[in-house]
Amino acid sequence: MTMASSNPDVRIVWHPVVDAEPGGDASATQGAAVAGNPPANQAATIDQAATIDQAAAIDQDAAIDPNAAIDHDAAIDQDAAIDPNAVIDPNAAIDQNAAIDQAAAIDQDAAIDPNAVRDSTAVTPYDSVWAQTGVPGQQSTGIERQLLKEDKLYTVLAVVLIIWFGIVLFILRTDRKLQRLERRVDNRSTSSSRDD
Amino acid sequence: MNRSYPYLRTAILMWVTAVIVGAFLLRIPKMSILEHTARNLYFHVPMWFTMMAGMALSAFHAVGVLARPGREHDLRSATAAQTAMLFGVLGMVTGIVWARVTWYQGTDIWWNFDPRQTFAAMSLLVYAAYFVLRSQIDDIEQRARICAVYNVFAFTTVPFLLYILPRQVTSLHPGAEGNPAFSDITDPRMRLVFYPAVIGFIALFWLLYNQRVRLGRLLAAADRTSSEHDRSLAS
Repeated sequence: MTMASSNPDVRIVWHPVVDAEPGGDASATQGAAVAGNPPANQAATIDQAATIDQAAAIDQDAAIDPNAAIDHDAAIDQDAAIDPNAVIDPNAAIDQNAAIDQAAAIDQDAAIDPNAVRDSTAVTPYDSVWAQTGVPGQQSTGIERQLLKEDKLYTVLAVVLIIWFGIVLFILRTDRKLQRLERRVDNRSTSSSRDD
Repeated sequence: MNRSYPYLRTAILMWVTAVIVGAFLLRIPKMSILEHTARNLYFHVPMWFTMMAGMALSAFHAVGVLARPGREHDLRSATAAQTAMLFGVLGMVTGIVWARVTWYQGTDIWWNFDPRQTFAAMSLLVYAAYFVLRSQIDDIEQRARICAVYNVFAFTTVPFLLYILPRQVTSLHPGAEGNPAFSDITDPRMRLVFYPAVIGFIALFWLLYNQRVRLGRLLAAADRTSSEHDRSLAS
């Protein structure tokens, strides 16, 4: 996250803490990185706030990023530190929250990606809940476990097709045999009628 | 045999193959408990429809026996009932396995006397009695007439056992008392496979029925030939 100091060329850099939990809101830290800089006339107050907040930020970042300390050192602005007008501005915190809100908004946009609608996870009015989310009853065992595994679909299809092609072969073979017998019976009846 | 038969047979077999592939590969809604077993709808229900179609055909030829006595109608009536029974048993088996992994999951229950299941089993037993009756009468003409009467009676029970009575009592099946109807809970995507499956299995029934009728004619011809041979030897 970047923040403006009294010197517009110097910025306080907060390195996001990236050891988010799996599935956690990692995008919030990404969203913070794109937060805009506050106006220059508020720089002093923001610096003051940043100076106070830096202690915690340095502690957090130092553990995972040695470069963070260097960034914070560069961000310390002597002018700001002795500015008598420096007041802790609560708006600075509000700005940070706003930045996080923006990140959340970006996440929502990603969630309604039109590609996701075509995905197998798309919701239909006929959906209820997959059984994985808590079906009452005992743990599946044996044949149940096999039949209820979602990923067995192709295996089951293969087995069913093998059985079906066996039936098809049986039908075709039976047809051939019947045709041969019918031809023989026809020939015999024709020859017997000629004899008569 | 009709000249178009081989083409028809090939078309039916390809149709059913497409139905099987579609049944497994097309997407279905995510339904609790059912999950992918919902695809059994494409097999289980069409089996019953096919059985009913076969029983109707059997009854039709049974009426034909009574109207115009002859071996052809009797052969067709008995063969249709046999083939219908095959699909009925398949419908029963697919239903039992389906219930085992969904309704009775986590239990040791395979059969729980669900009303529709029970009435379907009764329907199969009624037709099983038809075959027992056929096997007990030696005279061909008498067997044809008596079995035709029984067949018509058996068919009149089918709508009651498979449609009317199961809807009057509470059941786990859709469409029963207190349950949503089949049309309410079936996604239109599933109908894309379901209705072709019904057509495909009925066509497959016709294929098997046709083969057995031809086999029956050949057996009848063989009987005639052997009896003529015996007569000629005796004379």
